[in-house]
Amino acid sequence: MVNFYISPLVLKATDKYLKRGGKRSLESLVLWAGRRTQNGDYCVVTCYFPSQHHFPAYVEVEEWAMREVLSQLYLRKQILVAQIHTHPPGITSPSETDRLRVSIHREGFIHIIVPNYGLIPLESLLHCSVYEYETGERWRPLSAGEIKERFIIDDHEVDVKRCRV
Amino acid sequence: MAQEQKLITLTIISAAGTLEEQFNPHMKVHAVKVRAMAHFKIDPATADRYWLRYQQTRLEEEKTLEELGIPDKAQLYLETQPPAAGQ
Repeated sequence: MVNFYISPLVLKATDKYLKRGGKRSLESLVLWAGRRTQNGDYCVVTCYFPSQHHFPAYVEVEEWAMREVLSQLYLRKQILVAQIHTHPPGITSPSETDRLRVSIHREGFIHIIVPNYGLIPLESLLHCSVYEYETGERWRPLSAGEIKERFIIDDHEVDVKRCRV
Repeated sequence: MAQEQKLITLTIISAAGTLEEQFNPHMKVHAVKVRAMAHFKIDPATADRYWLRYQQTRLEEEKTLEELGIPDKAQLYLETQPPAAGQ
C-alpha cells in the first residue's frame, strides 16, 4: 500500500488558504505536489494555489494558471499527488463535477474533500473525505483507519514551497 | 532497402511527470498522446479528455507530428480541462 508523507508546513499553508475562502462561504481548491520515494511512497512538499474562481458551491481553476502549474512541476521535477477542495456544510460526498474535473486521472491520485468550507481542524485528514482514483473512472473512498495509516504528517523534507500562480 | 527514418526527441510534460522519448515524425498526435498516457499511467478511459499542446496550440489528433511542424527537441504538454469542483 502506498503511503503519503505530508509536510506539516504544506498542511498548515493549505489550511490557511482554504479557511480564507471558507470565512466568505466560498469553495477553494489546492493542489499538492511532490516526489515518489524509492519504495513507491509519495512525499508531498509543495502546495499550489492556482488562480481560481470561487463560488459558494463551485470552484474552477483558470486555464492559464493550470498551465503554469505544469511548468512549475516540470522545473521542480515534481508530480501532482492530490487535489484538495472544500465543500459547503453538510455535503461530504463528491459531485459529478468533482469526479470528472480532477487535475489528472492517474491511478492512485488522491482527492480530498474538506467539509464546512474548510472551517474545521486540519491537523490531520481524519475529518475529511478522502478518495483514491482507480482505473475505470472509479474513486475509492478511504476508511478512517486507512487515512490514519497512509497519510503521515512528517517534516522529513525541508524544501517546502507555497506557490501562488 | 528500407529508407532510414529519422526520429525526433520530444519532451512530454504532464501533471504526472515528464517523458522524454524518440518518436517517428509520421506518427499521429493521437498515438503520441496514447503512448504518453500509458507511460504516466493515466486512465485510458479518459483519453478523450486529454490533448497535447505545443506552445499555445492544441494539436489536432489526426495529424502527424511532421504535418504539424513539430520540431526535434520540442516540449509538448499533456493537458486536460483545469480542475473544478462543485455541485
